[in-house]
Amino acid sequence: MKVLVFFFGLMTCLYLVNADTCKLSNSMAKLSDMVDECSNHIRGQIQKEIDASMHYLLMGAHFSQDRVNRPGFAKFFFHAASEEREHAYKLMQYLLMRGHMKHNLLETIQLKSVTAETKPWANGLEALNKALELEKFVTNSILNVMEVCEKAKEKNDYHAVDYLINEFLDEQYKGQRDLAGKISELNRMEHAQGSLGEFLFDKKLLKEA
Amino acid sequence: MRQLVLVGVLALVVQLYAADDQCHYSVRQQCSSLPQKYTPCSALFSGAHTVMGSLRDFVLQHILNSHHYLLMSANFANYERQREGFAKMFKKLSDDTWEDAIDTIKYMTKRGGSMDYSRTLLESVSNSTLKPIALELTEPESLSLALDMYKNLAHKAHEIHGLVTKRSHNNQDIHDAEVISFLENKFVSKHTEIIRDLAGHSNDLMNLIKTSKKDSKMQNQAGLSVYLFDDYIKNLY
Ligand SMILES: [Fe+2]
Repeated sequence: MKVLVFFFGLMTCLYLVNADTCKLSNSMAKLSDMVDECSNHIRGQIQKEIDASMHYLLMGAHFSQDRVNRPGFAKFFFHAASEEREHAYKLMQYLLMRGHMKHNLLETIQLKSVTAETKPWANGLEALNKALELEKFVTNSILNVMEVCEKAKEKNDYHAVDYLINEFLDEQYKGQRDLAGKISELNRMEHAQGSLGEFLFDKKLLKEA
Repeated sequence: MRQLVLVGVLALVVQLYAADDQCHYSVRQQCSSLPQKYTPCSALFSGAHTVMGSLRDFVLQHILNSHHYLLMSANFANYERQREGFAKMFKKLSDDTWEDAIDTIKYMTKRGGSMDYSRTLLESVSNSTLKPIALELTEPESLSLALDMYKNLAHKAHEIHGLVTKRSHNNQDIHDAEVISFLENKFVSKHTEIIRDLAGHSNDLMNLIKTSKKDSKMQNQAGLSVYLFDDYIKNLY
């Protein structure tokens, strides 16, 4: 009952704000010279960044558990989750700057498509490998967006391509390098020391900024 | 006799849910014969287990809301809307909600819980509560929607608080002082502040629009009001 009253309250609050009286009359400049094909692909990339963010969030949650107890890994992955969310925001900002972030905003982010396929990771090494795979997937997807924007029929969008190279590809390759380095290091430590390797590596991750 | 049975049942319940004395036992057992598979010790105690599911929903609702605010921010940042204040405010709400989601996950795992989310859980959350209905909203509409979304979240926090407040239920100890303290310190007053702010903004803006439409012969007078209000919001957030 309480819930019902509550929802009724919600509805009335929204209803009270009548849309028509609040609309301002407008005459707009026409800004965008961006090709839809290109901007749609960038939109698609926003969703992929959000998906990656959710993936990392789950990894962070996994390594925080009492029975797993790898706070260093958890910190690393939570940080990655927030970073991916920032990437999505940056792409939005880019589309806004180009005047191509107006209609059907809801389609830009959907949480439903977030993978239900994620299963607990057996150990830190497996998670890092999975993360590297994920980053490679994202990199390929960006490369694909660049190709579309460069070859767009009506107009080559060099600016979008340049932006993606400087702001995204650069970071992707650095991120992949970092992950690959961590994987080889952890691999060696585990080879020599077994579970002590992961324990020590975790403490090292915890100390990293 | 009845008391004895009750104690027995209670002991079982404690074993099942809180497992307060299991860790020492299992470690001792396993230290005496190493090859056995190790059953991990759990951080679960007190009534936290009773609200893990609700906390999971709570986290998901935060994530949904955070993404929604991000899109609302984008809606006001496009060159046609050009509302820097609104865009800034919604970005801040989005960031806050995101951080709270992560903090709640951390808290759950601190209390021995876990955060798997399956598709069904995700659907139940997005069906049962405020779904993003529209994003191309006018300024007052966006404020009222944000207000509703925050009330919804606050309501959930209070609900979870209520679940762990009772001393016992069906002989099960469900009271959990720590969950209560977490919710109170992290959410309860913050939500109240935000709700009050948003309600104030919402009413301010509506009054500005209504009076400027009534008083002036020019239809566009409301445009100036909203512009000034946006500027005010920009300095506020
Ligand atoms: Fe990314």
